Amino acid sequence: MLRLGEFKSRSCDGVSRRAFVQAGAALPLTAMLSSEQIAQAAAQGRAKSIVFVWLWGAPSHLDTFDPKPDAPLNYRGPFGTIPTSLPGVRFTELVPKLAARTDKFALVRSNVTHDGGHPGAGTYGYTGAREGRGIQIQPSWGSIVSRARGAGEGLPPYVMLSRGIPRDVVKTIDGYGGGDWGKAYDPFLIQCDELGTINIPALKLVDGVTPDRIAHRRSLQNQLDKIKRNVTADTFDAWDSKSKQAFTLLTNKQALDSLDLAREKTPLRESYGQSSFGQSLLLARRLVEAEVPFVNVSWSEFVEAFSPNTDFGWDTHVKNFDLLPNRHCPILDKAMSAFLDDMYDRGLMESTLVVCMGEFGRTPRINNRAARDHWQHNYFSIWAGAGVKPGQVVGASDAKGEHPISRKIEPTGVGVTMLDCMGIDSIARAELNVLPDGEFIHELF
Amino acid sequence: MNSSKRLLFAAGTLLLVHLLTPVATNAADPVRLTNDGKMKQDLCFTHDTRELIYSTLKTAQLIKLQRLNLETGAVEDFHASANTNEICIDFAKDMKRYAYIRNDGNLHTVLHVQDVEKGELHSLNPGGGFACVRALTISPDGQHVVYSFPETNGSQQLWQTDNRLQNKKELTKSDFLDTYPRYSPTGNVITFSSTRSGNFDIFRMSAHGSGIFQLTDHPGLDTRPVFSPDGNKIAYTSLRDGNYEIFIMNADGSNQKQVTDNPGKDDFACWHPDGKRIVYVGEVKGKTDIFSISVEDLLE
Repeated sequence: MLRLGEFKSRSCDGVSRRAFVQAGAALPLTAMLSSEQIAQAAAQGRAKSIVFVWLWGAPSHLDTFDPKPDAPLNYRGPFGTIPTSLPGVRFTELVPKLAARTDKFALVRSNVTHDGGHPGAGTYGYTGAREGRGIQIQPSWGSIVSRARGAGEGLPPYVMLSRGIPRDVVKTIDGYGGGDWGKAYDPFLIQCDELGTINIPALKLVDGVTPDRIAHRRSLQNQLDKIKRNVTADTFDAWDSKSKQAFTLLTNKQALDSLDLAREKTPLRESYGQSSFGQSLLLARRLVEAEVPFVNVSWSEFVEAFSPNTDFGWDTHVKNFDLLPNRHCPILDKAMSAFLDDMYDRGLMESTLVVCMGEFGRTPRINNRAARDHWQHNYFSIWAGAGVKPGQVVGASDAKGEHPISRKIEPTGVGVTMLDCMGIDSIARAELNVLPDGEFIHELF
Repeated sequence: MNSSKRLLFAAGTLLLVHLLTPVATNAADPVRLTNDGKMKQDLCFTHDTRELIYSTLKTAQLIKLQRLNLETGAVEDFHASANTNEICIDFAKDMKRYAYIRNDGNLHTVLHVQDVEKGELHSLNPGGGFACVRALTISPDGQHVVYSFPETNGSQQLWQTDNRLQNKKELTKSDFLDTYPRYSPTGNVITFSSTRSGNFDIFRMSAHGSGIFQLTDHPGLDTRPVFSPDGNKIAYTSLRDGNYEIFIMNADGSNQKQVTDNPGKDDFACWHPDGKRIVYVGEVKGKTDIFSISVEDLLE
């Protein structure tokens, strides 16, 4: 007997579900879902798209969205707090724009995870499961959505906007993609720089495509025309899935247009800020409009906050109190605020779930380098859209921000909630054999 | 002359007019000095006023020191061969020495002093592992360097060395974060940012570390103080109105006045050597550039 597991869940519609699927025994075969039925169920989810904003390296919760102004100075840190638009809720002074927009999102202050290292916590954050030698790599949220929803025309179903697969200086995380399902379910990587210039690494795999920047439209089109003449069915079949996706995308005008940020009005582009993160969020909005079901925007490729040949992640073991006010928080505050405004203005939030979080928090007690280290016992996440009730804080941390005192939320709960909103409910997850655990965060809805 | 050269010439002319002639502009009208929109920080004039040196995010993975020629508007790398992040440069008055911070390892920075005449580079490596020198200043006579560095109790103190980065002396001893030191033009006084008041405020003390005196007292962040060339004023960054703006005050903390009023972030103030203008990094319409603003009307 194949036991697929017990799944507890509650959907965005507020309907509790419980599934216990044992192939060949507990349920008649007719109860098993075909891939078409999974796709149909997924299509009926409240969210048509998810934007998963990944603050890689792990921002300090105390210095941003969960300040502890009454804690001792060696905990609370040097930053003042400001009121938000939500009575009684304060953020630090480093995120004033988001503080003025708490009516647009819900804040969770009681996230926890189970690994204090970046790759491990990263894999938990993307899959809800452990990584390690000999451990089966679970598919990531985006890969599950990708499989359930299937590919549309032109654009891949799981797009990662990042300079690269999330990593530290030692290794990439295991759980970024399809895992043991295979590379067919890996994210389609698109790099977007601070000017909004797009680069598609998979194009380098397509023999004959030399320009890697699609901003040079005419040059690219000439090359594509040439490739199209030369590509035979045999050639196409020989490419890997990402190269095929790249070719399909680039030969689809509508898909290609969705990657062209020059089509946006200048004031709107400016409102996101001239940063890779800001322009990537703008691109994410365009991909949502193009009905890409899962878009992952990663703050950086590397976790390291200040190391040679890395790209300034949130891992502030040093310089936490320098980098946050000087660079990281102003960029985050501006870009996320513009993104939320833009998404609401266009009426996209009813059908889009936005989740913004890192892989863990940072030590509430200031370390011996006048900064903060890893803290998996408590951190924050921001949720908006797809029926999430904005203007609320879910869960709370203790007086020093060390542990949740209510509603502990684990990575599996994050995953279950996202997937449920996409219509990938407990039955569909059982069919796909993913996420056997995880509690839907019903307080958000 | 092709179009790019004409553009460069025009930009250079604008800089020349603004920075090399007497002030005639209104304090409310900042002049944009760069146009690339890239992140910038840590501005520093060379004392012959020909160049402005600053750090900029040149690529996604590299912060480089750059020099803006104020006569031509040309920008070039300060250390052409540098292949890792370099920040926080400061020059001695005779420009024979300068100090800066170099990111030479994973979450690790080293303090350097370059002796320009002798061609010697002195280094202060804070030790293995994650260890970062945070901010620095070199005395106007080039004889001393003061920098901030964390302590094992989680605080951050100011240390002084000679210009070969030897003979370390701890200037401050506290349980707080002391950072962003800056010498006065005479070299007798140091202003710095500290959390002694509960959050970042501006303080001053003698160059020997005595007589610490609080200059600002506001629940919003006040940081990165810099003395005016005559030593009578201090410019600094404040978050007191909910946004990063440049302020100035008398060197005793009185007469605090707001200089910039921009919905974006204004930071990293640096006095023009004429004492009548401040250059700073401002974020306008999403682009981060260097601006100059007259403060002549605010100096009374």
